[in-house]
Amino acid sequence: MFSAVARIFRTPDLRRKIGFTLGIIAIYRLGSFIPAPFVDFKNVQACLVSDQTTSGAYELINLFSGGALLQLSIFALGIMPYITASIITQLLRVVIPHFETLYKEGQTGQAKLTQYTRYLTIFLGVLQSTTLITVARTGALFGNTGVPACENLLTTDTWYAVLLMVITMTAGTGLIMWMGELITERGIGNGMSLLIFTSISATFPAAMGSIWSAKGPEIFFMVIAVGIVIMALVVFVEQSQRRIPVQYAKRMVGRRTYGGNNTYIPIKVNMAGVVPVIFASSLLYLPALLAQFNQPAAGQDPAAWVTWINDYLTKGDHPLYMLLYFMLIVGFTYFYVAITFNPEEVADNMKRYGGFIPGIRAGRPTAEYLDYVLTRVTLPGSVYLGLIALIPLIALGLVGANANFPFGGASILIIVGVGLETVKQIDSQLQQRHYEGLLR
Amino acid sequence: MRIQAIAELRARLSSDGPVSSARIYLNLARDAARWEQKLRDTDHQVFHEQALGRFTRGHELSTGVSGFELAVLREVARRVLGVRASEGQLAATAAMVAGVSVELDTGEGKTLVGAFTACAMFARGHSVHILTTNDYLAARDSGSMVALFRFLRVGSAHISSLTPHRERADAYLKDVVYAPLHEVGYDLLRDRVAERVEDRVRPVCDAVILDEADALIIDAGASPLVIARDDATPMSLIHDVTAVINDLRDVVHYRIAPDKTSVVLTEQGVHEIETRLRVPNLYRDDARDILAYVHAALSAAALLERGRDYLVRDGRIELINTSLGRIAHQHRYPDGLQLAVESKEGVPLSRTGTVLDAISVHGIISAYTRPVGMSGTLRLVSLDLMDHYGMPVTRMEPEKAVARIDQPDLIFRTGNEQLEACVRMVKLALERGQPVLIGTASIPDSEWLGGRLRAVGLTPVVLNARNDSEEASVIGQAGKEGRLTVSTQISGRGADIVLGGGDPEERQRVLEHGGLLVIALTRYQSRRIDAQLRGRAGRRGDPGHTRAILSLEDPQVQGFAPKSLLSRAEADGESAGGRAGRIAIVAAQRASEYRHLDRHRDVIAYGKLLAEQRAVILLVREELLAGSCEAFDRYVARTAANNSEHFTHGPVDPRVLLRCVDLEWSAYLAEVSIIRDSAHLFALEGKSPLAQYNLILGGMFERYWESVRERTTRAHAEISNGYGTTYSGPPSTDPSIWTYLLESDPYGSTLGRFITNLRARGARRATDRSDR
Repeated sequence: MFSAVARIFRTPDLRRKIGFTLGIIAIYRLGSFIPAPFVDFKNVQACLVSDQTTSGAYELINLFSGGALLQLSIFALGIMPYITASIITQLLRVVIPHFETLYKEGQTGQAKLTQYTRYLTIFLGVLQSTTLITVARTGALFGNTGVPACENLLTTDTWYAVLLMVITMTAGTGLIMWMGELITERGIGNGMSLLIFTSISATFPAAMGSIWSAKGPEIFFMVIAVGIVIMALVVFVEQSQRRIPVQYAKRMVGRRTYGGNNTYIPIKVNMAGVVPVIFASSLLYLPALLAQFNQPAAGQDPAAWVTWINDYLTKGDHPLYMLLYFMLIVGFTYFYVAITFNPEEVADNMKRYGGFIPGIRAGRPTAEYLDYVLTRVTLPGSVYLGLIALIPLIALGLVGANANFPFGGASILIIVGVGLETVKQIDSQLQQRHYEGLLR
Repeated sequence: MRIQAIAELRARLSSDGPVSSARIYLNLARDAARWEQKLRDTDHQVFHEQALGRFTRGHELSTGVSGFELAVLREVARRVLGVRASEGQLAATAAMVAGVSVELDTGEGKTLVGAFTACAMFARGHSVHILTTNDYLAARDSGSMVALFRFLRVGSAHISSLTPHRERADAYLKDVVYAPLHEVGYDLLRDRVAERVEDRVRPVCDAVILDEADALIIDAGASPLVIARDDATPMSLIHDVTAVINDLRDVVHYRIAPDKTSVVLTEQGVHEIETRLRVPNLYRDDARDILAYVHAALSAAALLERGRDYLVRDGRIELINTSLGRIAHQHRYPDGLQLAVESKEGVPLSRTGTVLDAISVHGIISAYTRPVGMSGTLRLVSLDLMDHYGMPVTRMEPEKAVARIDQPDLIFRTGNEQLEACVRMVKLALERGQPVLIGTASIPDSEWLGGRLRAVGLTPVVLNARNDSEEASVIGQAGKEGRLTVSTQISGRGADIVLGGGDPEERQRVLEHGGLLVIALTRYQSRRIDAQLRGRAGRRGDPGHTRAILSLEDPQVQGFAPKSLLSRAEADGESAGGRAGRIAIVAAQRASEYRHLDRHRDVIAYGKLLAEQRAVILLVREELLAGSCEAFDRYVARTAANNSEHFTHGPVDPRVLLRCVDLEWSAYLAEVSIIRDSAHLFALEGKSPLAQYNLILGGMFERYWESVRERTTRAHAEISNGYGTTYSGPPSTDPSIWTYLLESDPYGSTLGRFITNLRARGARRATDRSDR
């Protein structure tokens, strides 16, 4: 492993790329601390300290922005508008035929789609920054904390001040988008993923620090130890896969010396990645939102169903909530895997290029076989996803960690996923540079 | 500054592709006019000496060309060839010497520009190759410019596929060499597998001028050149398989994809084959060879059409290059497919070959230090030229403004309506006396159309790859009054149609009739090919008309246009020329064009690491050729650190080792091609197929050396036992063409796949509902 690291630093090109990536990440982090104009820095900090339970509404967004959202910094919106925009452009393919045509036009068409994504990102940036600033202006950003500082987050609230803030934050979004693309283009790894990775890991120290201050060092070190075990487990499961061998109908002269087991259909244990967890938590957030809108006026009793939701479905540590969460994740995993890995399509594609699974007829028997394996491999995968997602909720009960508990849920899945992907990319780059020294 | 940035941004966003400004080169060309009269008045002897002084090898040190240099070149051409170079030609020369590729309209005299550039590069100490698409152009251009080179004492030569091996080495020593691109590629390949130093011809890859650069780089770029060694004669099994396949029926036994690039067997088809060939299970390991033949025979029967994809001539299969409409000499289908086509057509089976080495067009051009190109259509691919070859592009406007009128497309629902409209238009034009050139999609189309036109009493002349020997005379007559020529893509590039066929009086009459009328009956696979055909009319400021008469039944439209658009266009009925039809046709062409560009990019991306690995081996090979195993030992010691034992025990014959290095590379390539075919499966686990492919290749290459070692040890044992490899001279070299037929990534990203499949499900559900 150390020799690999040493090799990275001996390869000038790779060294430059990694340096570039780290540089961009540093700028990204720096920007998250620079307050937007007209933000009352002292009041915001005071509020952040007083606000222990992060309000659920912005939880995920705040996590993805590395805490910059509640800081009201120039990078408050983070990479979120870009992610949302790319998901929307992808979804629009379902309704707009023009987008579907572009998607099929290969790289050139997809470059156009990227262009649309960028415009949409800016549009979403304007929208989201306006919302954020409006909320901050009314003093509701941190919920009804009662702390007077939280009511006065901005120094002025004239319209041009608001306009300037909107422009600043939107520009910040544009800059982040550009930085992400720069990493993809000139650095190492996927820029968008790496920026999310950065944001999420940036919340680690604070989350761990709060455990230390609340529960003392014993618990703290225990959590770290358990956390490392969990992380190892996630790395292990994420790389687990069933490999179904594939052969090609080509005349091969002689024996096969090299790639005997390099041609296969990979069926990962966790084929769905982090998506089901995000789906499930977004869906479970809906009842709470509904209840919030139906809060009665002061003094009156809330409706029975509102009370029920408040009792059972807003607090993550309630068993019913946990059960529901778990079931939803298992369900979504199957749904997502069924849609993304279409055994018939894979079988068809294989057939078209002369590939086959030895001993199994091409076409329907192959599709059935793939489906059989897929269903069985996905079962442990979905249970694993559900359990990983429950970890923060359990930790919340056990050690009073906040919802961003680093060793569980979406956080760890994203961190490990991006980490593995980036290491693979560095490896592949190393491979390519390997021969340069020999040629000179 | 700001305005320029905006203009550049707009150019980048426009689908035409960006070009850099040609202003500085035009200024240089204008500057040349200052000396024109003075040089013209100079005494011949004095001028000759002056020119020679200017153009001696390595004399000129500046990279840019000067106005005076251009003026001298112009004067040389005037005295020797009797033509006065235009401002555009001089500007194009200036741009190309500076390393900027030039888009130059048809008839603006690319040949002279190429020769000028070669002379200027020669003066800067370079050796120059001028690469063309075929033998004929290399010979023609070299012949027409030889006087110019002789005057400046620049050694020139040309190479064609007929040039004998021993003459090539001498030709490559010349300062300027005209050759088809693939000939240089084959020479590079032959050199790379040569087993004796004296067998090599050593092309000097320094500066290169690519004539019709887009055709060379992009259209031919997806097919790597391959050198193969003759192998065993194939089994007779292929005929049995072909017989069974020929009896299968479409839809029942197999299904063809809408874009006609792939075909799959249905269950019934598999069953039929298994019963007739008496194979219990086609997909078992022991039936692998049979399955390979079945696959090839099915592709040959269902996807390849005689006349469209290949011709049968003199008992041989000859492939047609679909972007040029010409016969692609020395091209072959990949191994099994070639046999299947031969079996299908009942011609003698050719010997199969084991691939010894391969090089891509990108690999050939990368061998040169200074590549520069010229063509009538470069803008559309300028991004690719820049990204992959580092070649910026500029455009020279023609001297006389284009007077050609491109009329709006006529779009019909059916081929019949299209034909009627075409006949009407042709009759009208011929009555006026206007010459007409019709472009069709394929050879069978051109012949069918010729027949139909004859049936209505017209007298068309048909030109296609089948009678390409008559090309010069047909094209020479095509501009005559009232002449009707039906052709394929073949009359696109390089065909110079002179109005009136060289008779000044007739030319005048044709001009009055409105010049040449070009009718395109199809959209070709790229917009560049369309533009080349249109460019036949209105050359050098002549008047001319073009018109595309299209039908929605065109295979390209049916295969590539989005289904929703197509059904909307068809619903428009008689007047399918509505918006939907127009968009459907444009979308279909773009999809096919971009698919080709993507394939070109893939070949480059997937070839990169392999080329680097090959470079390492060639380095080792070089020393083995010189009779030393030292480099090999050194290399193995450096890479396979875990195998500390010394590689070679006792004396090793470098010739044996060399042979083993080559044989093992051939086996390595075969394995790589399989990995390449299956790389797209890695997308299923969310990995980049390319990155994963590179990782695997990295690991395989470590094992390569181990395999060479084993093979060498075996070979030595066999030799010492008395029945080893005997040296039967260098392996025979039978070059063949081998292409990847796979899209790199049919799956796309996970999210992309999710949405595509969601869409597909929605569509299926909708049709289910309407069925009920």
